[in-house]
Amino acid sequence: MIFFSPKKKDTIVTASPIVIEDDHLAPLDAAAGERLQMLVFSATWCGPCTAMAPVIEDIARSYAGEVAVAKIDIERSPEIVKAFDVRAVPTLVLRRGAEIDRHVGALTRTRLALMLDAALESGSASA
Amino acid sequence: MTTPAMAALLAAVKMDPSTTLDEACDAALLCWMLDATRPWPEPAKAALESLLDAHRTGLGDPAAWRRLRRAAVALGDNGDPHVKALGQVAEAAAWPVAASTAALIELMRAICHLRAYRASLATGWTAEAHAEATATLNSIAQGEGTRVPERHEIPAMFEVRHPALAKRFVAQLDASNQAFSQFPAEVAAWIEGARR
Repeated sequence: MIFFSPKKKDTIVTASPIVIEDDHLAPLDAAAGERLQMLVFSATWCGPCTAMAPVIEDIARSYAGEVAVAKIDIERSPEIVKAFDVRAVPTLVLRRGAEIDRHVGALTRTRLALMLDAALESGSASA
Repeated sequence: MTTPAMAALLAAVKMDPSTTLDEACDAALLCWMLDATRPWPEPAKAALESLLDAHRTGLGDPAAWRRLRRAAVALGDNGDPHVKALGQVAEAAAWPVAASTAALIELMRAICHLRAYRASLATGWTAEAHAEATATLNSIAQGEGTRVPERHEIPAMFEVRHPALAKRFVAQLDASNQAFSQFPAEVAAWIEGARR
């Protein structure tokens, strides 16, 4: 499924999380355009990460026009992990250029949506 | 046709993901799961009743769903652990089931945690006992000024140090684990019944 970004009409955005498989965030930056970015750091052996996966899929779909979601396996992207100082999984980082917010540990879809709403509202307030 | 939410749940309860179920099963199962969390203590009652109504009537208004989510979060922030666990159930149930992958699986997992908490409580385990056990286990794990033990050595050391508490700890843990794994089996039985 694809959507057009409401903020940048010429950007086509995917409703599925972007999977980062190396140490480069360029695919995310390119796909995100002006949207907020949510980086989801996880690991294949992490139970809470697996439990949260459907929540991340739903959130990526619901917020496709406003948020670009990237899934980052900590074992495949050690340099990104270091750059973001990730010490536990799952870790969720919200950024628009600079980091806006982060959460360590699993979250319900409701709490994740509240976190995104707050970040989006603060973004529009400062725009 | 089986929805993404049901397909995700089928995999989680170890049923054949290609099982075909009517879309109406999603809301029916969600209501059954929510109903299975009764009895509800007074502080949780209104929010959970509203959620049940919303799913039964197929509430469509996004603003009404946002209000339900705010009420669910307020429950989840409650200081009482039982209300808090019900709040996590409410948070999972506070979304329309259609076009969602997480709706059923997230609710089932929240109920597993609630059942585990209730089962632990039913053994007579208290917040005070939990705090005492945690402090003892942490102290053992840190080596108590001598050798830091291997992980597998800790349970036996706990039994020597505090036999009565260790026995109660193991009993509540067993009950909790059993309750946690029992609910998915009940969900699978419901689905099996709906297929017939």
